[in-house]
Parts: sequence; C-alpha cells; structure tokens
Amino acid sequence: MGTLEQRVQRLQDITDIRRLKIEYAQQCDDNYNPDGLTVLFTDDAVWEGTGLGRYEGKQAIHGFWTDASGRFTFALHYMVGDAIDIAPSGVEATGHWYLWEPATIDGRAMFVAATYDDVYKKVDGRWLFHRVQAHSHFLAPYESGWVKVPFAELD
Amino acid sequence: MATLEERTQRLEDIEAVRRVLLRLGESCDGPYDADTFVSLMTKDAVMDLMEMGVYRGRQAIHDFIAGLREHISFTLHYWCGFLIDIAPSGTEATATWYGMETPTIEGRAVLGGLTHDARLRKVEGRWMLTHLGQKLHFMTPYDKGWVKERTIPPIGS
Amino acid sequence: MTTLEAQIQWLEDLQAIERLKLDYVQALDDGLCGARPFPTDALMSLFTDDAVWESNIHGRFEGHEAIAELFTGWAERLSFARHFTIGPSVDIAASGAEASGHWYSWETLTVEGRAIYLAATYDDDFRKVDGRWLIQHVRSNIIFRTPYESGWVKEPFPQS
Repeated sequence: MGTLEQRVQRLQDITDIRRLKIEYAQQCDDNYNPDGLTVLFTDDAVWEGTGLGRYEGKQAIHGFWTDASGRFTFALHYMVGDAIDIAPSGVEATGHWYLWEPATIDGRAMFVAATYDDVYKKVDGRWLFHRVQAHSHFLAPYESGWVKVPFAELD
Repeated sequence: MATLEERTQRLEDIEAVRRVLLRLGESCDGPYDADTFVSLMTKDAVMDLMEMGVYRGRQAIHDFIAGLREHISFTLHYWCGFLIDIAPSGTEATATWYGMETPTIEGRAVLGGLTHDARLRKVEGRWMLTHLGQKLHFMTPYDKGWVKERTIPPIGS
Repeated sequence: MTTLEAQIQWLEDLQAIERLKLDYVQALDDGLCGARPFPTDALMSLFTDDAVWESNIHGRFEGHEAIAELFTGWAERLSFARHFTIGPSVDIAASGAEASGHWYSWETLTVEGRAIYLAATYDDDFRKVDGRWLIQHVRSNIIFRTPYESGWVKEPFPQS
C-alpha cells in the first residue's frame, strides 16, 4: 500500500503523465513541432507506429516529426481513455491511450484512429516518453469511412 | 473534516473507479470479451440498455455481450468526461461519462454517441459495477450522420 | 499546511476543476438537447459574478445576463449537442485560489436541422470563491465547424 507520501506521489505522477501526453498532443497539433516533441523524450527513446516506421534515439525521432509536419498540414489529437500505471520504483510507468484524430493529410480530410502503448521514465524529477507504440486502427478518408477505405493510399 | 489519509483514499478511489470503467470499455473493443466484461460486475449486477433491453445478473449480461460479436466486428470506445462520486462510506460510487464509438456493424461503418452511467461497490478492496446504464444519442451510419438517420435499427432485428 | 497536505489539496483542486468543466458541459448539452426550462440557473451558478465568455466566432460576452442570453440563443438554433471534452491541463496558482485550464473539445451538433462537427480548444480561468471553484473566463477557439457531409477541408465553416 505504501506510506501516505508514496500514495500521494503516485497520484501526482499519474497527473503529471497525463499532462505529458497532452503536451505531446499539443505539439503534434502545432504542425508536428519537432523541437517541442523531441524534448519530451528520453535520449534513448524509441517511437514506432503501424505503417509509419520505427525511430530510435532523439535524432531519428526529430527527423520523423520534421517529415510528418510536411504531410500532415492539420491535425487534432484527442487523447482519451488513459490507463496509467506507476511501477513500484516510482520512476517508470506505462500508459495506454486511445486517439481520435481528425487530420488533413496531403490535402485530404481523414479520420485517424489509434491506440498507444507508452513507457515513461522519470528523469531528474520529470516524466518523459521512453517508448511510444502507436497502433493504427484506421486512417480513413473523410468521405469513405473506415470500412470502405480503412487505410488511405498515401503518396 | 476529513483526515489526510481519507482525502488520499478518496482520490485513489476516483482513479480506481475510472480504471475499472476504462477496462469495461476496452473489453468491448472488438471482439467483445464477455468474460472480462462480467468479471468487472457483481453477481447481481443490472445492465439497462433502454431500447436494447435490460439484463440482470452476470449470465444474462454475458450472453448479451457475447452475442454482439456476431454483428459487430470492430469498435473503439472513446470514453471521456468521467464524473465520479465516492460516497462518504467509501464503498459505494456513482459515475457518468461520455462515449463516442466507431463500430463496424453488419459490415457498415457506424458512428455512436452515448452517455453512460454506473453504480459501483467496493468488494474486498476492488471496485465492481452493480449497475450500468446508457443513453443513446445517435448510432448513425457513417455516410448519413445523426440528422439524416439518428439510429440504425436494433442489432439483430 | 504541510507539503503533503498542500499536495493533496492540489490534487483535490484539480479534481474539482475537472468536475466544474464537466458540470458546465453536461448542463449545456442537456439544454441544447431540449431540456426545458433551459438550465440557465444551473449554468450560471457555475460562473463568478464577473464572468466572461468569448470565442473567435461569437465574440465577447460579459456578466451573467449576457452569457445566459448567448446560451438561450443557441438553444433556439440547436436541437442536439454533445461536447466530448478532453483534458484538462490545469495550472493552479500559488495562492490556491486561481487556476487556468486547457481543454480539447469534439462536438457533434444539430444546428437548424444540419449535422455539424465542431472542433475547438478552450482556455479557461477559474477562481475559488468561499471554498468553491467557479468559472471566471471561457475562451473558446473554434478550429472548424463543418457540415457533416463536407468535412473540414471542403468546408471548415458553413458557407451558407
């Protein structure tokens, strides 16, 4: 169960991680700001997404966001359903999220639906992303919906 | 005036209730996992889905949820806006929340907008649902929208 | 107040502010879905006396009377509304009596018989008055308000 301090700290950690994910969402929505995003990751972080590739380390991650900002000219990342678990160590945590994302990709309106499995690390008192796994469920053109076209053909 | 421990417990209970409800929603992301769904409910739980029927007890609830698998091949439950109240007893709770869902029903993309409510009881340190309810605002074919066709006919009809 | 107590207070304040926003959203949605009488009193009881509501589309409204009139005006044009709110990111001032919060909102609306998707972000200010958090300032940034048939690329705001 832990001491009262530990219990309160755990609740604080959950709140801080929630905030970190929303910060991530906001940076994505700021035209995938590569600087604003990369600073949220540990040095040895890994980002991977279905159909989007795997990026290891800050430089690769920065490069990925820079590319994304050219193609996704608009996005709104609605991050919901967060299930965050703080490890007994108090410096590692996992999170599972749902993403609902209206986006404009290559000039076309799309609905993106994904779920995330994240691993977080607390470095010098601050929570950062250590691993992000984005599972794409659909990336459907607005006019078609996810049954007719579950994954749009992108150039 | 509540002690620090009581105040902490209440905050922990709110988070714990939220997690149980999220797990419930996740168990319904296709394919419907009826076993997990009912494991989060007390034996005498009631699920009131209004026009979709009222189901009493784990077996009836299990059968209904398992039956949905035939008709719904995929869903994502976007549950948010949780309003959770822990009773002064610390062993009863109520919750309301908003749900958006993206089911594929009989091979058709459908968009659902609902609000949900639940009552929970803390049983041996674990929060479990005694009652689950919902209000269907729309369950519309994706190509129609909630004005042209607010709800599809009940599943299985 | 000990550090531990201050931490617990902060977490409780965060909870209370989340609830406040949800109470606002739920009452507004119920009213816009046809609840009559329109829940003006319930809504206004969530605001400070010097409340301000503003958006990039609607303009700025100050005080209970103007804000209530804004909401009841909506109720004449909308027959359905659901605000799916995500967030918040909340900052509570050192005083413990002022706060600000940022939310995302995804809204499914029926405006004069048309299905509309509305996407917005909110930046709100709150004040604690006699131990109770109230909304002091709502700032809504509407990103698109698109007819269901069109989508935000073709028609980010209704043409007609």
